[in-house]
Amino acid sequence: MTDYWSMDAALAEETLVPTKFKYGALGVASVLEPGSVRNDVEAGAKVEMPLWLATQLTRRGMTTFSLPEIYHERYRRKLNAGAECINLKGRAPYFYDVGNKCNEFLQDLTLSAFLSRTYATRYRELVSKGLSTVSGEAMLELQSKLSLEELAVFEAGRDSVSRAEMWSRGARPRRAAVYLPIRKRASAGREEEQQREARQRTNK
Amino acid sequence: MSALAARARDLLKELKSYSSDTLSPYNEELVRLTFSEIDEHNAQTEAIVSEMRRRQQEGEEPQQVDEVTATTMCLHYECIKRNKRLLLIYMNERMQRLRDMRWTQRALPETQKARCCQSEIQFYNDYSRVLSTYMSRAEGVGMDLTLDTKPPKDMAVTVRGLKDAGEVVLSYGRATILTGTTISIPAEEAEPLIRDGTVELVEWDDGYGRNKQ
Repeated sequence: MTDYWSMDAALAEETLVPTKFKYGALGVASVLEPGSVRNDVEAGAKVEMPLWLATQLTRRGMTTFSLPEIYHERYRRKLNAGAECINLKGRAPYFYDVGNKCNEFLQDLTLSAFLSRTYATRYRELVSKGLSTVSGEAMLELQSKLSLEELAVFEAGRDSVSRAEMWSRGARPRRAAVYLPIRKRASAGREEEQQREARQRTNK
Repeated sequence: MSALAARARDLLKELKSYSSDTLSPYNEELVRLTFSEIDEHNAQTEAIVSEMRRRQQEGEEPQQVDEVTATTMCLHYECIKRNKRLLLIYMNERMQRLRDMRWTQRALPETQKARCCQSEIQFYNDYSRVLSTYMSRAEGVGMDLTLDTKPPKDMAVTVRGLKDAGEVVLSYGRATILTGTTISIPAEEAEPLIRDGTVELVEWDDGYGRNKQ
């Protein structure tokens, strides 16, 4: 397991998935099914459990699980129609991680195609809107829609844009507080103006 | 039985809600509750095992473990493993952040120190001592490695005073910093002055479109 120490990977696995018990379990019903009067989970019972438990039990052949609702046909149609409009942060903050992890067990080819198509559409939107200078409000609106994986891509993109800008101005990335050559830019503008005036004079 | 590793999950969520250069207050209560959750799972597993032993001793046929019992035991086992993993991630992440603080801020700020538990403070002090020993002239490399993450191009930097700080004592003597005065001082001594806002770094052009810095 490569992502054993990753906080995000661990939190992604907290997503609930609908699971079906093959044989049942003793004395754990109060946890798995809140509000249940019985003590044991029966064979064939359907419960919602976190992905980390579902994968481990399914690996041993004790349960089977199916996809969370967000990957169902209804949402797939919505996402295919306009992937960039759907707010993933609220519904499924770990949309891609969870999808891929489920797919390790379910081997659903349409799901992987669906995931990559969704990402491709949303990525285009993310780059075209997020990395050019837009107003703070539009940026916040975009950020509030991204899933956490997309947000990481988004922040890396913004960071690299600002670094590239700094490089083209010829500065070394130092501490942010140090970097404020406002006066220089003003004087550069003045120089340009002077040059333009000089050119106009020679044209006359 | 309590919910499936929900407390350990809350621990991680709490830590995640703080930005990556600050710590959340060490939540001793939740850590303790997570431990007791693990104990509970362990106790239930042991109860199942002793029940089976008892039946065996009573002279019943050594039977196969039925699937329901196996599922229950696996469920407890996975919960224990999950709790362990979440706790380890929690500790490791906090340790990482403490280490970063030593490198970027040189000392543990009081506000962050109040949020650490006793052994974390112990870890920080030990780590700080080891790093200082490594950077000391007598036993180590004799350089302050936390100053620059990239090698500096010049030993001295040019700074401009932002406020009247008066006379400061530098390694080569005294210098007076007034608003607007520009002086050249050793890079490692400029760093603390820049950080508290007494001076700003002057980026100047060396004629090739690149700053000398």
